[in-house]
Amino acid sequence: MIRPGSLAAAAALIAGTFLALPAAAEPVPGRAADTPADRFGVPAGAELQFAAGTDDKNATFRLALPTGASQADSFALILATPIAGLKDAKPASLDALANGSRATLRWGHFGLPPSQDRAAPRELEDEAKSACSAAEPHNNQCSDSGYAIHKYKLAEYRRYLAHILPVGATDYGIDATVGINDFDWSDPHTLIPQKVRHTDWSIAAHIDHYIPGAALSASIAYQRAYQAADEQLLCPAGTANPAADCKMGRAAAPTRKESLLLSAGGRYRFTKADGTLSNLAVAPLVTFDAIKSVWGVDVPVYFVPDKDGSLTGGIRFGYRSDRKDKFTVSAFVGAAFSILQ
Amino acid sequence: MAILTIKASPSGGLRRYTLSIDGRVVSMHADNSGTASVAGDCQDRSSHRLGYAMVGPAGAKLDFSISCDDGSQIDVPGVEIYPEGEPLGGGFIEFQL
Repeated sequence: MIRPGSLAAAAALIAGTFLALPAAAEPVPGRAADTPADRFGVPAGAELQFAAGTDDKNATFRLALPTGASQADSFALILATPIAGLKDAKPASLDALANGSRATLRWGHFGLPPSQDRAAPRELEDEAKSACSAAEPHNNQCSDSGYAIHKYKLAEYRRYLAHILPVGATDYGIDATVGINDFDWSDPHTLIPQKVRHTDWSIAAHIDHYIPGAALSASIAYQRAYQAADEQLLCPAGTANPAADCKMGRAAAPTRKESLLLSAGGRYRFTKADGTLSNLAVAPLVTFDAIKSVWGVDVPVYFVPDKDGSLTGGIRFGYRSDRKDKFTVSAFVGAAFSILQ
Repeated sequence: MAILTIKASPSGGLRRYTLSIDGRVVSMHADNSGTASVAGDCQDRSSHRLGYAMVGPAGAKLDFSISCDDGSQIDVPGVEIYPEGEPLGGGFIEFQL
């Protein structure tokens, strides 16, 4: 998981949209669950949705705004607020926007040109359909070239998809978020409790391009948010009973943090000569923090499958320009490899 | 000229799909329905090609219900995204009116 205080946390907090700078043994976080898939089942007009999960202790209201008849566009206003107690919602992390009350305006477009019939290799289709009909004479799926080629000409399947979908698919979008966070801290001399409220904001854009078996992605994200001071042991001056009088707390006001992250990467799963999936995948990612002038490179190589065949572990090669030990190599086990973000 | 009504049922996290019939794009509405006109008449046994393209995780599916303007139903199999092509799926389905 993401470590608070790391660049990875700063990258991931912006609407969960962006990839992170490398950190040893940390899986690369994916985009949040709020995907364009949500458009299915959403009427053309506005709709109010409610979602609350005990894991993130947030209540979320999503207003799907009208986008006309197009399925390719999505437009939504997302309101979220903590519901599980303010203390839970205000951890000492960079994740200010993700933990306070916030409003996000999200627009996205998912472009997918139709299959190109003129580019379809008819001879391959006919061979596969013939083989399918001979082996499965009563299966109407044999009329589908995708099914037939996948089942009877698997070695040709990716090449076939590349023929009929030469442009691939492209997903791009923008998130703009405003959040309000309350912070508690104590005067370090008098220990008198202090409260302060800050407004944070972020804007982020991403583009992902998909081809059979692979994805290319790029993103840019700017965030200005306040970060709580670290907790420490606070004791009244001259106390005779530290065990009773001292408590953990923050002795300083929150400080403003900025980040501007640019990233580019790819994800690819290899196949064997016969067209079946191999147990090898890579997901290289280059990230640049333009404010701190820090470069990061993360190259996780997946080769450890779980019982379902998903790749969940491997070796991660990392580089951070701001570290004394710039190059790292570590084993990792985490979320399953996925081409989709 | 026959008018076909297409209803699609995406599932399994399918993110996006496009359809075409005989090379002409079928404009699908937000409720996953659309219409297309094809040469021929309902139940004349003429052959046509339904092209599909879709994006999603492996296992995501798209089922179809296609009817001709005389009310007759056209048998068309559902399609899915296979792991070897993830995140894309595509192909052409031959069907008869």
